[in-house]
Amino acid sequence: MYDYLIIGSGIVGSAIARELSFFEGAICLVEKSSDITNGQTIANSGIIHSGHDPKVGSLKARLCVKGNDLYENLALKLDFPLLKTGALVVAFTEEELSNLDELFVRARKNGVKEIARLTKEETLKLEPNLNETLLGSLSLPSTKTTVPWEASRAMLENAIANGLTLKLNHEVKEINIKENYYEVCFKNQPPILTKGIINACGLFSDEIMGMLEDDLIQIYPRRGEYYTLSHGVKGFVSKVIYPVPSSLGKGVLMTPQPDGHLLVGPNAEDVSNKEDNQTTIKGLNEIKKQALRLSNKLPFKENIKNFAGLRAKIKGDDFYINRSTKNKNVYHLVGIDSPGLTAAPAIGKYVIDLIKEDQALRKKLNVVETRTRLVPFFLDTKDNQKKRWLEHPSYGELVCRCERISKQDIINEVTGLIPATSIKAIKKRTRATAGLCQGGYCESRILEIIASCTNKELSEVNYYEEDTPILIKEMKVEK
Amino acid sequence: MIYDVCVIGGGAAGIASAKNSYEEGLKIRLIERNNELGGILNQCIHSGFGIHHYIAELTGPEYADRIQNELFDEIEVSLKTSVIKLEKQNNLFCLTLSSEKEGIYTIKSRAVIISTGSYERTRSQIELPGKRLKGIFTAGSAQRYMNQLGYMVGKKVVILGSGDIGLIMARRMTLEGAKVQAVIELMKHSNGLTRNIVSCLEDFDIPLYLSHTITDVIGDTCLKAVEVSKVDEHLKPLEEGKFRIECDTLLLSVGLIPEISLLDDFNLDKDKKTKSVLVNQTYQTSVDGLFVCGNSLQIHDLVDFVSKEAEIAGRSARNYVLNNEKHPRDEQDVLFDEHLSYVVPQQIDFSILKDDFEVSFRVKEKYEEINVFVYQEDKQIKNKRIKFALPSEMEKITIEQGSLSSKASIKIMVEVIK
Amino acid sequence: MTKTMTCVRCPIGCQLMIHDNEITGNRCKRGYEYARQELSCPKRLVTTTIKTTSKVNPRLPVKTDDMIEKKYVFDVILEARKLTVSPPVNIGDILIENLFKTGVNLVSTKKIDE
Repeated sequence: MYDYLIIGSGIVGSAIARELSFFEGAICLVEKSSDITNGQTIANSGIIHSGHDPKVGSLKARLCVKGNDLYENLALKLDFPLLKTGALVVAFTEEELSNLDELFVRARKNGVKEIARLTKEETLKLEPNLNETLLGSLSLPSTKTTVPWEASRAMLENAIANGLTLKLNHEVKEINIKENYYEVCFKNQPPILTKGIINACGLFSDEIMGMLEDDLIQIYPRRGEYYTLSHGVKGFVSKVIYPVPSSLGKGVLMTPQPDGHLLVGPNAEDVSNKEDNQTTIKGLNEIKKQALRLSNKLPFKENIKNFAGLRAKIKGDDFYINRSTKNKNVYHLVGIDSPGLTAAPAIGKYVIDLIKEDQALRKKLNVVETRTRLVPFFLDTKDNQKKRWLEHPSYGELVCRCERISKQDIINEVTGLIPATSIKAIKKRTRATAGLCQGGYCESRILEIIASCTNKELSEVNYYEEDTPILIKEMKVEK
Repeated sequence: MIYDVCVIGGGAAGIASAKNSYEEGLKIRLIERNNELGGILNQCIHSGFGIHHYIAELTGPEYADRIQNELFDEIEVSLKTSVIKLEKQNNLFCLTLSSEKEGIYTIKSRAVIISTGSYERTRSQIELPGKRLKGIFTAGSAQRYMNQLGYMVGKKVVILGSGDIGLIMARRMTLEGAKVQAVIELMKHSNGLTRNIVSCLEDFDIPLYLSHTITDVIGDTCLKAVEVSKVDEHLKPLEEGKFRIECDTLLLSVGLIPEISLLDDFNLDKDKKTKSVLVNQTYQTSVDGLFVCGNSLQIHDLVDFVSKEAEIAGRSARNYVLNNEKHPRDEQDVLFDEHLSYVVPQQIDFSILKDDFEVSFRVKEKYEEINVFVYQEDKQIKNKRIKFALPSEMEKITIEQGSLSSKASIKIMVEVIK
Repeated sequence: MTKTMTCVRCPIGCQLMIHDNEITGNRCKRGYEYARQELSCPKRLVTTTIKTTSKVNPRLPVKTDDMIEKKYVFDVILEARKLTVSPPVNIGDILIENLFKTGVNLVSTKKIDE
């Protein structure tokens, strides 16, 4: 019997898991997918927003600014990438220019400490690749970018070090409300008994809510597509570039990533179902059009990958983070779309505060608050490389040439704390197959490594989820 | 120890250039990341290699074997070794190597030949929309899975691109029991060698849809079907007449791109059409002692031409090392008219012009008969009649060294007869 | 009636024209022979791979050492599927002799030592 079961291993679930792991009690986190962070957390811009955009007084605004403040320290403690880019909101028309003034006021009211209005000249001096037709900008130095699933993974690993049990491939099918506890039933897995439930299910949090409550909230998936321009264009812009926001959202942005790639997107399109995360010709063209408005020099030829993410939007457009009105020790987090990534560390603390109002939480005595990431071998220092290679010679074998990932780096992920056993999981962790050739050289070699580490046949290794084997069968040997 | 020539990449180009850079007393090192030499030839189990070079019809592995046997024992071959970084400092090249056996270490060399081959154009580079589904492969990776690992990648296949790799895979998969539903080609003529259209498609009644492309992929986690659309003369998909083909596998055979990321730090100018760096007639780049040949210089259709090109690059590297004095270059561009998409080499260095040399080129459109003229300052110095010139088949013209009367640019012009 | 066909004996792919049993369009003797053959008894070279016991080289590429009648192509593949070889194997080693009594053998096209 667990004290708390967290459903969902996205950035929100991970942040909550970490905070909760500092307190006494048995906690378990379940994730329906074959790997962590396969929902919204894996397909977004990775921006830690300043807090200029959310409505004044909203929960989004409060938690966004608080979360932004927490990230620098968190990135140091948990050793995940954080790029302190700063941001510019750029205006191209007189109307947009006056909107900037509104944003300035809004940001101030939300508690954003560093903001400045820049002239056209000052803006172009900072970012010469922007279109010269711009009229001015709003500078937001506290904006940063991160790699969301790395931040999420870091939080989860820290939580595991403090006693969290993580279970992958656990898709919640139904929840039976018992006298003093809950019986959570899964597809193809034995049920788990728990005293409390924290629903951090992202796109599907409305469905989990539906299993427990009468008052329901509906999630409206809104899709956003992206271009990923290769790290060859690093330096094209150094800050996150926002257009002036509209009713649909923040608009098509240019986001420099910690690994050097440049994300361009997203657009915003309401879709009818939660599986509709595909890229479309129309969507991509729309992004190009909007982005060229920011800079007509954008080198789209350097695109190495297109992808799409879905945002969990709800009516009212603010975070819904509340305890259940009906069920004891149940907390629902619904509609945590942008600035969810930014707010996540603050959401973790907010949920702890909610829980503390309902029952006493005792801090654990020996808690680990830090966690270190193994640097990919070829990015490490010469001395470390020598040591590491002597201990594990497989570090010397380069597997992913485009992103410089060694065989041992991959083995570490397959056999690590949170095992990565599909091609997609390896790609997420190491960036192997995510570079220029998209796995043309290394995919088959990664397959061989996963198969040998997990004692499987090559045809049993999945591309993504269960039942997506890359190879269908070994070629026939007739009798 | 400082090497005289280091060859990066041990495929057809690397082997030939290593062999030809050797002379007694010179230290040559051939570096290959795989556990065997031969490069892509090892997975090309079909025949058709060596018709020009050996006057024989060989399979890829057989060609690889023959060229390897010609390597001199004195050439140091490093297998399972990758080059992580290439730099030039004080007239010497610094190569950072890595292998399981030796870890990371650096070596120095007077000259370097890049023969790192190419990589396949990816789904993102052709902006094929839709979900990330299992079942979408580049044709070459499917070829590796089948021919080297022995696994089928699917049962019902659609192939995008009628390039040779796609055609060969159409045949290969059919022979192994898969149903190849169609080959879809964007252009109005096929891209592959004519013989492959016949022996890979016609033999098996596999339909070829010219002037069509794939506009969507359908499925949840695994591929279920593709949406095919006709394209207009600007290659834009038309809305009317879209249709679906059921399949569990989509092979992308949409072109190869030279692999030259090792040269990123040198910031060299690139040829927009070949997608590689610029070279002169000795296959030397603008960096002294740095040569490029094979698929990393321009995508070839025949390995025989790769061997020929690499021979010259190897000899040029050797000459560079032996003639210690550096002389200033005297380079002029090779110009060409609108009938050609590119020429290689892009420049002629008159200061080291001692031999006849070849210019490779491709025509932009299919021509039944053309006359190719080479001019230097209004004087015609060469002409060659070519029948059946196709964009998918590289052509060559030899320029005799003696025919050049000055150091002015040469220009290649095409007269279309039919 | 003129029949056209593309010669596949080499990458040039001459367009052959057959009219009244006369063959034209070939650049070399092989093209002529090819057309003759295609009209009377079409033949193909078959290349495939067979399973090995080796971990380093799990598949051995093989070929028919000469063109074989087109009708036997899939049968050659099926016969090849019955084999498993162990290293060492040399190029040219005969793996199946006299396929379907045609005199054509299935031979290795790669040397594998381990």
